[in-house]
Formats: sequence, C-alpha cells, structure tokens
Amino acid sequence: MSTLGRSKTPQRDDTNKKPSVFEKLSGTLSRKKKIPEDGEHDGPAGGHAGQHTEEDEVLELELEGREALDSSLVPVLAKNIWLEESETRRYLTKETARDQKLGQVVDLLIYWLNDELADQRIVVRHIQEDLFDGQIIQKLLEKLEQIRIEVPEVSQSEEGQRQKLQIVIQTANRILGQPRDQEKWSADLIHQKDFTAIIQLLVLIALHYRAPIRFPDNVVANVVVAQKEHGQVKTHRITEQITTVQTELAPKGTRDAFDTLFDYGPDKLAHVKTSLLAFCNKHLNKINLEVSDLDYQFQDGVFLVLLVGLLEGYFVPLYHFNLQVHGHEEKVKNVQFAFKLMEDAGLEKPRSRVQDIANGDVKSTLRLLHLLFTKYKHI
Amino acid sequence: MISFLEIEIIKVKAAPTSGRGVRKRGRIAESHSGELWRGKWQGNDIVARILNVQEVTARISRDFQTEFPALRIFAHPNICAVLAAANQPPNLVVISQYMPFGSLYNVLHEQSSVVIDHGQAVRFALDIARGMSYLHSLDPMILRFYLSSKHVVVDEELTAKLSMADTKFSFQEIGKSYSPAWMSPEALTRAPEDLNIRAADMWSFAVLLWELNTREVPFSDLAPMECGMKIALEGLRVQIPPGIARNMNRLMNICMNEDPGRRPNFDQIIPILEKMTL
Repeated sequence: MSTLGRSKTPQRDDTNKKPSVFEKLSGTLSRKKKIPEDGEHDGPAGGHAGQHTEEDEVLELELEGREALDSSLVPVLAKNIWLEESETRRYLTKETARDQKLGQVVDLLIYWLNDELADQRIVVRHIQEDLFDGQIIQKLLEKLEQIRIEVPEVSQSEEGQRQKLQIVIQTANRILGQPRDQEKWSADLIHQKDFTAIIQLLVLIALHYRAPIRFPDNVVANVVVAQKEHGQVKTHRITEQITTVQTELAPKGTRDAFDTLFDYGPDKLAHVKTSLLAFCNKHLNKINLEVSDLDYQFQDGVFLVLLVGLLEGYFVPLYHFNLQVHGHEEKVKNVQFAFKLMEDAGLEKPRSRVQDIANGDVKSTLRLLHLLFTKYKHI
Repeated sequence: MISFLEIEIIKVKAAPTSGRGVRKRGRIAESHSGELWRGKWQGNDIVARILNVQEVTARISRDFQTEFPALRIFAHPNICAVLAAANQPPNLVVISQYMPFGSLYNVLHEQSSVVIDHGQAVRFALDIARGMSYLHSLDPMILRFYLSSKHVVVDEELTAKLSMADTKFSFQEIGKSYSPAWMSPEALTRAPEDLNIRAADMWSFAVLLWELNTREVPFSDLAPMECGMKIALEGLRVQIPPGIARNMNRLMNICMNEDPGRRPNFDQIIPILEKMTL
C-alpha cells in the first residue's frame, strides 16, 4: 500500500521527449514562453488538461536539466578546446553529464528557483545561462535573507557585470559562512558559466535556507580541468562533491522539544517514536493496516489521510486521494489533502511543511504526528 | 431569501419554547454539518440549520446562492423542501419545515413512542421510493443528496419525506463521508462524474430496506472509516437475516446488485412495494 521508494521532484523519464512540450506550459500567461501554435495539442479531453500540463512541466524541466548538463560536457576533442594562454576551463565528463542523480539535482534546483522567484516574475530555464551574471542569485539572496544588496540594477559593460557578481558572491559567502578563499566557487568561475561551481553554490544556498526539496544523497561530479600552458592544453580530472546526506529538511525555527530530542536524547527519541507508533497503530489496525517505520511510511500521505478520517469519524471516499501512490506529485497532493483535513478538524497549523513530510523528513513527521497525538490521545 | 436579522428573531423566539421533547433554548442538535435550531418563521414551525463552514468566502457565499434554490421542491408529497435560506456570511442558514418525529433514523432507532409495524415499514419504503423517483426525473439532477435514514424525515401522519435540507452543498464536507454504511461500493471509490448516480442511490435504498426490516443500524459496530474501507475494498455487505419475507428478501437483493447496471430504477420497484402494502 505504501511505497518506500524515495523519489524526488520532479522525476526523470527518458521516454517521450518531443520539442512540442515546450509549447504546452502551464502557469500564468507571463510565464509562458510561446503561445501554442497548433490547436490540436489542446485536445478534446479538456478535463485532463491540468494533468497534462503538469506532466509537461516536469518533462520540460528535465529537458532543461539535460540541456544544462550537455552544454558543460567535455568537447569530443579535448585538445581542440580553444583557450587563451594560461586560461583554465572545466568540463563534465560524459558519465557525469549523463548521471541521473546529477540530473535530478539540476531539476530540483530549477524547480525550487522558479517556485521561490515566481512572485518576482523570474523564470529560470537554464542553470548556467540564467545564473552566470549573478542577477538571479542576487534576487534569490535578497528574498531569502530579506536584505538589499547594493549593486547597480543593470550594468552594460562586462567589467561592470563582473564587479556586480563579485559583490553578490561575497555576500553569499558571508551569509553561508564560507571560510575565505576556501569556497569551491568564485565570481570568475560562475561568470565563466562553470556548471559545477554554480550548482555547488546553489545547493548550499538551498540547504542553508532549508528549501523544501530533498536532493539525492552523495552526488559527485567528475570534472575535466583543461589548462593552456605554453601553447599546450593540459588536462586532468578531479571529483567535486555536489551533495551529501541531508539529515534534516525542516526549517530552523524556535527550538522545540523535538530539536532537543534529536540533539540530546536518542534513547528518549526511540521512546517517543514507540509511543507515537502505538498511537497510530491503535487506530490504523482497525482498518487492518500497520505502521512499522515512522520515518518513511507517512511520507506518501496515505496513512495520514486514513488516520485523520479514523480520528475524526468519517470515511474519505477513495477518489479524493491516491491510495496507490505513483510519483512525487501524488505524494505531495496526498499530504496536502491530509493537511486540509487536519485544518478542518481545528488542529493548529502544523509547523511541518507539506514538502518536508513528502520528502520523508523524520523530525517534521514526528512533529505532525505529535500534534495528532496531543489532540486525540484519549479516544 | 430571508435576512439574518429574521434568523436572529427565530433564535430569540425559539429560546423560551420548552414544550414536550423540545430543548429549552431551541437548539435541537449540533453535528458535523452544523447546528439545528427550532423556531417560528412566518407563522410556521421551522428548523433553521446553520451550516458548519470554516470560512464563508465570497465564492462559497455565491455557490450557496446558486445551489439552494434547486432544493425548494414543493411539487411532491414525499419531498420535504427547503423553504428559504439566509446567505449572511459568516452564517449560511437553511430553513425547512419542523418535523416533530425528526429523521427516519430517529424514528427507527432512537425513540420508542411510535411503534413501527411491518406495514408501516413498507409504507415508509414506498414513500421514499416515490420521492426518489421524482428526484431522478429532474434534469439537472440534484447532486449530493445521499439517501439514508438520516436524510429522510417523518411527518405527523407518518409520511416519509426526503429532506432536501440534508443535501450537501458543493463546498460542504469535501472528502468526508460520515455515513458510508448506506453508500454503494462504487460511490465510495469513484468520483460522482464517473458514476451512475441513480444506480448508486438504488443501493442506498436497498440498505434502507434492510434497515426498515431489521430495525438495526447498518454496521453499527464499525466507525465510518472502518465501514467505508471494508465496503469499498473488502466486500463487506449487510447480511439479510432469516425471517425476512421472501419477496422482500428478493427485492433487497435485486436493488443491491453488485453490478450497478443491473439494479432496477425506482419506477420499477414502486409497483412491487405497492403490492406489498396491500
């Protein structure tokens, strides 16, 4: 009934890549790239339009992710790379550029950036082409940190652009607490549209601000570094770490009992988990269901929906949610629906975010279940 | 449309009544769907039901306005119409005639002053079938009237009437089914637009027949979630006990056919019920 497989938004699917999907975007008009030229794509089945466009959007993001990776791919003939004397450039190896996990990281970043910057009418399509000048990084930091970075809005010269980028990156490093001169990115690398540097910076920003996404664990990029010395191009390979394991997804806030529990009381944490598990099973057993793993079995939202129905005394007709969950979007929808039911039941607004539950964040899940436990422990 | 001021008057007027079986302050009941108040309006005994809606948005108020007029059905003796409504956010109020016996559920399971013999049970069934037949003849159909003994009222002459005031509005109780015991397996699983609503109602009628004959609450020992899951996924069905007349037994089985397409319609079973009342 529940799926244990952890999937990430949006999912990669290598079938079905037609250019026409670019023309079928959902979202607001302002975000549309082009108006569909061929009416037939709108199709007769109007009722399913929403579903289609959602899929298309995901598909489209994947294409963009692939594009970004491809453009950083090492040229076929490395020796032919056109470089100035003593110039250095970095390229992804073919294996890395085809790495599905890395592709997911790019997809997730684009997904998150667009979500975060939608209210500023910023649309990110290509991770390097759109981010190398620092404008979007600036807007992102200004929004997330609620600051103002004093740089000229538009700079005409390349030199001006570089200076602006320099200031933005310095600000980023200060916020992220990066030790000076040890960061893996620099204004120069980013301005060169260096894939790895841009991704590493973005991942760190996403983690710092607890973006509601979960990256694949331990993604690395194999990079070919090409340098021209004395008229000769020399190359060597290095490995850059892109992601590690995300231990916690929930936003930092005022410390609560769960923070303490996680930091200082592993034995007490186990105890809390056992009682919450017993509470859930006491009710779920009535419909012949059993939870054994609090950490992951609630992330698809199915048990949450059923549990709220059991606690509040109603049945949830099965067409209102996905009993069999396929893909991340359905998980998110289920969890969202469970949140709505909890709100209707008069529960206080949970501190946990829908995305954190769907991404399987343990602390968020426990907080949510504890909220239910507090209200319904006596029934 | 009546103003909320009038409803306030109803509440005030309702307050001092303390007749037989009526609570002092006029409030009859409170449930998941809202509060029931008893009162007088234009000289009639009425029930005002204040809908339980978390936040009455402009959109909900507008939907209420467009949906309630369809419930003012005065053309049939077995339908208890909505008399009026007050669209006064944050309150949405539906007014219907006061029925001293309350719902059929109440008559069957919760009171003892009226004895329901077999003949009366069949007459209730016939009343309900006639009301349903009329509802099914409407175009467009009334959506979200979920047939169950809780949504049927009984008047002084022991006539059963479908209570239009118990119809759910499009914004009410979304995703929540409080009485799945009466619902067909397909209605618990599939969206109304992917469903033969008339056939699903016939299933509900069969459960009502079972209830009228056994005088029991279907699946009374199960919570709604348990009952709904078991009906939808595990084939839980009401069991017809021995001792039920053979023709009634057969009627229930026909109406509760697992294949919605093979269930009869109400026009077909009315003559059968008429024969049974003789």
